[in-house]
Amino acid sequence: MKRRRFLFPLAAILLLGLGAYFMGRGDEPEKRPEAQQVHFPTHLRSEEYQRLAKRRTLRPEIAKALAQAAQPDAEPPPRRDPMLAALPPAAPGKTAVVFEANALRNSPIGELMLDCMRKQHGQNPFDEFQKDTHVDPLVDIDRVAVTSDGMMVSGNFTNANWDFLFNHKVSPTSYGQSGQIYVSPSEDSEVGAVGIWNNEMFLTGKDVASVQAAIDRLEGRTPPGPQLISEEDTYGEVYGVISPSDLGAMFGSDNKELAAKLSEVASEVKLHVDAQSDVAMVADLSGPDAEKVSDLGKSLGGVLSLARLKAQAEGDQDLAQLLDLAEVDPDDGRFRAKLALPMSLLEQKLAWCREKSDAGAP
Amino acid sequence: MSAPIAGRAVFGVAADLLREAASRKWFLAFGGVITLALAATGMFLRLDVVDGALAATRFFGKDLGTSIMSVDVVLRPLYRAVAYAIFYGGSAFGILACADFAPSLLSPGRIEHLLSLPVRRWELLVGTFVGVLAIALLGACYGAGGLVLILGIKSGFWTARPLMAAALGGAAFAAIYAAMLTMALFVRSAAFSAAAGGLLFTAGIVASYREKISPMFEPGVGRGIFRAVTSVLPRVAALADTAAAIAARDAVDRGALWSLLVGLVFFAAAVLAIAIWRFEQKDF
Repeated sequence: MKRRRFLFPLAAILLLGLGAYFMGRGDEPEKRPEAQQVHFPTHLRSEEYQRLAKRRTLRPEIAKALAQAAQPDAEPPPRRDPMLAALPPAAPGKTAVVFEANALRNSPIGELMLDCMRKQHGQNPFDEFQKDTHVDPLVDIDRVAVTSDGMMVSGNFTNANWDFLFNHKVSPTSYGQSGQIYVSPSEDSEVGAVGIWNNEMFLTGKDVASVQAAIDRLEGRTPPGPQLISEEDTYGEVYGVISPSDLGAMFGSDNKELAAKLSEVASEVKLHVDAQSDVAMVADLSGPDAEKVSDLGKSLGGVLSLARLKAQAEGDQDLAQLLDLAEVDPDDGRFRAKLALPMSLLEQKLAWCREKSDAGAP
Repeated sequence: MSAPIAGRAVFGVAADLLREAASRKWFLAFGGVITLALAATGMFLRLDVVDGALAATRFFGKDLGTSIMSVDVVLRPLYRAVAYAIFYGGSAFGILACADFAPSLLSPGRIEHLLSLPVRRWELLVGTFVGVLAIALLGACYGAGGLVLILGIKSGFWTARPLMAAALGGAAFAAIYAAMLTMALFVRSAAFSAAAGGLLFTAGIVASYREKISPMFEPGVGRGIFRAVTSVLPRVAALADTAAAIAARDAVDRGALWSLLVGLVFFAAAVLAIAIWRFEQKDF
């Protein structure tokens, strides 16, 4: 009886000790995986406001402004961002997407991609280009814009050598105040002309007229009209406007119906990609018929859902995880589609890019 | 005539406790509230599902403006919220509603009658504990199961995860009730029993964050005491988070979960051992 009297307290102490041991094993914070959280770009953030203000360097109407200054009531025209000013004016069916090349290069995804390129090429992948042009893309290029009419690259091209263009066969002609234009000797060339403006912008076009038009916009010879990309839409590391037909073409043959519906229903698609940590993409789609836009949003949501279910059924956990973060937010006459690529997943998938450097790290 | 099977009376005591609970207004009201909430959800929630994606959600005819996403992804926050509500709400309700089971079991007249029956003392205690565990699991699974059924019918998406989360909530409450039962054997008072439950519930939340909290104590005796005391307590908040993660299909560290559950079982067994020891010593 006396032994039984102490049996339970001893058992209790032993059990409490065992309980403490097991519960303590679950205490370690690294054992609890965090839920994936991605921040989608939806508006200008303070650093992007600052970036925007710094880029307002262009005042092509300066002569006009000086003339107006003689009149006491006249206000000088506001400064503008040269890249935005050079873009074609807003019109239906126009596409322009700006890549913040320098910010992307310094982002986690940019660093990873560079590691992959270095791993593949065994050296700096831009060495050849740098030798030809005296432009270091990793340092000298600020932004790259791809438009329906061609391409624009902004940056510091003071030391650039453009003679390599068109196999050294063409000499530039001056245009406007600070422009130089190289015209392709071949009529079949996709790039009909290349323009260099003020050693800070490189422009390509299908023909000479399109390059001249861009330089005219930069130098204020064209009255400023509605901009294809407004300043308020310059957030993220990639931003712009994509025409519905161009976007539909990206869907591939599997989603022809959806692409056709997109072209029919949407009037404008605005794109924003944030790459500061994870890669998060937001596409804002609007159209004149609110009901049709709403139906399109539902169809797109269904496509994403089916793709996710298919990925789950086929055991493609990576794709299923990506599509977990995909969603469509409907709003009156518009909707917002979100898609994300978590950096952790990219690093895991592209771990081979860093194997050598990791091994060599101290 | 065959000898009675040891421990068989445990289930008889548990069944008696369930009958007693069913006759109490508190439990009937709680069951009624859960039923009403489920009925309202069933009648007024409309889910517009297209190709497995939730295209629109209407509650009482009003569009809730939800995103168009895979239906199971959209429902995750709801299942997560339900798991937390069942875990914390159910535990808080259980602490209050079950506080006087043990004191009434030990009340003069009733305990003498029970001890005169062919029931061992430990069977009485364990039976009471099992009965409360059954109530907790039934309540949690009724709420979660009803919601799974309604949302499954409406959306075509079926999952047993909220039920697993609810069961986890029930198990966590059972460990708390073990301490309440033990307290009743030292002080026969429903208020003390509820206070013990409330204290353990709160301390269990603190214990879940002991790794983050302990650096705030000066190294030495204070930190040592904090770590020693919290090491034995059930990790209430960690279990609640895990239950919510299970319900919402988030990643769960299975090893850590099993450790927490095994630790919880050992804790409940330890506290029940003290209760049995006390009960065996007591004269009625």
